[in-house]
Amino acid sequence: MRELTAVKEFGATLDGADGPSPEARQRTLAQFHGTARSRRAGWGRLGHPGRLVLAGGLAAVVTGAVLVSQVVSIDHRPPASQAAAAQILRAAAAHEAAQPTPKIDPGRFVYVESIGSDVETRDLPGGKTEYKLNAKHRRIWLSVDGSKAGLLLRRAKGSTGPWNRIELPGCKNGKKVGLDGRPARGVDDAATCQPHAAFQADLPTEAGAMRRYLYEHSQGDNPRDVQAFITAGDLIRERYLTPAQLGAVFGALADVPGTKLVGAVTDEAGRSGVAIGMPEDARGTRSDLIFDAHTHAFLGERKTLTRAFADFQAGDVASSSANLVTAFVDRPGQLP
Amino acid sequence: MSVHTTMLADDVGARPDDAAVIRASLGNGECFSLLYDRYADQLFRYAARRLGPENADDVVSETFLAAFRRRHRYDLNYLDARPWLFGILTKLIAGRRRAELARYRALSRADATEPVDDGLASRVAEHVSAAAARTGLVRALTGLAPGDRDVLLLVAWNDFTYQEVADALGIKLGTVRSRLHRARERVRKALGDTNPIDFDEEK
Repeated sequence: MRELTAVKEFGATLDGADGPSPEARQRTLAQFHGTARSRRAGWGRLGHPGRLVLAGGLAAVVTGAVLVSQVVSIDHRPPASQAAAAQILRAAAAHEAAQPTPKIDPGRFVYVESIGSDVETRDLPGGKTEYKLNAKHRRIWLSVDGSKAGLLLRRAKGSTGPWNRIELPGCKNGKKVGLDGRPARGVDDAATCQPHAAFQADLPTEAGAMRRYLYEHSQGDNPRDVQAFITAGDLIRERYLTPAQLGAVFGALADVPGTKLVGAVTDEAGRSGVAIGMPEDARGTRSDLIFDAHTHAFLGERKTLTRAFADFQAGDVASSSANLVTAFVDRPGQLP
Repeated sequence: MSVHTTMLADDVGARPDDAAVIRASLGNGECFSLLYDRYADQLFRYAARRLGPENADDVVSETFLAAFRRRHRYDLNYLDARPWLFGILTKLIAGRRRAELARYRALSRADATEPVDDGLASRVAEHVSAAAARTGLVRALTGLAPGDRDVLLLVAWNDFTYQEVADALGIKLGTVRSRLHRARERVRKALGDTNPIDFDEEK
């Protein structure tokens, strides 16, 4: 007891200021914008649009057969469901492998357009909370090598009103730069930055190596396999991966235990696809990747509830992202 | 913006718990500022004690930015976000171990050279023994394994329960107990206690 008291009293002698400076508070609060998909400082979802080149008939036939024979009984036959999931992931890998690789100029920008939805909550008088799914149209421009500032535009899905505009600082020689090319102001002005490249040339291009990469680069408190699946989602969301890299991701996931075939789904953009899910039992959610049922092109992703929560039922979507376009352009704001 | 305004409005009956704030921030990032205003001061004081006030502003900012980026992974079953935030802060402090140890060294040096400001003999004796105890304490803290120090300081300085420490650091309850036990043993020895009684009061 005495030693805890001694440590406590010693601590009290070290106290000075009561809290952060008003400037530090201001700078920190200025960074709180955006919705939850971002896993990098205000850098939205990474993602990959459907590269809608029609793949050969074989893959489509496989998925069709799988859907008919397995989807209905998915909850009673998990092993078959996982085998089916692996089949579709391998077909997605094969689809990617057949795509051409463009020349990539580090000075350009990756442009990604998508429809993303999130649950928005409102606290109502009387202690009640209102929940609703809120879909947004997103356009994001990201510097290929991360050295230049990018841009994110968002507005409600279907809206023709003004875009909400968020500048995404670039990082050159350890210093943040804004859209005007001048040093950007931000919470860690004095600190050195690390560029967030929208394209990473050194990612593995072979499924086995990618699988090791996913496990080695996973951070988080989920079970290892679940975390590897989540890391894959983070790796491809609103970024550019070459067909070989992206194919390696899907090929790697085919060998991650725990995935299951969710079945036919319609994504936020109204396209029909097939979803492969990784249940996150501890959280009562499931992460899904969605592929075109015929070509196996990657369409997007979503998070689904597997337990009822507040006004939501098990099976309701909590967030989703439907990728529409991925392209290279010369400057932020430019449409392909 | 409407979400934020609504949440801040006085007519919201009960104070929304941290999980509700984080949930709201998923749709509207600005709601996260409520969490900042709830916890920034506590985090700052703790960081300032361990790293010195000159590092505290930065590390608290970083804590909230990291928390903000990871908020979609927050387990909303935990209504109280304090352990989560202190867990992030602890990791960031671990990245500045050199600054922390330098601070402790400076503290023990400052004590040794601090002039006695009172002429009364009894006060002098008291001061000298307090300074000696302080030097021993600082040395003990410096000598602790980092994980043991994390547990000890969360308990002693923030009144964390064993469960909160376990949640914050992502370790088992048994590990919390054994780390705390080791740390207390060490401090007890540094304070010159020759008759240690093992307290294991559960909070």
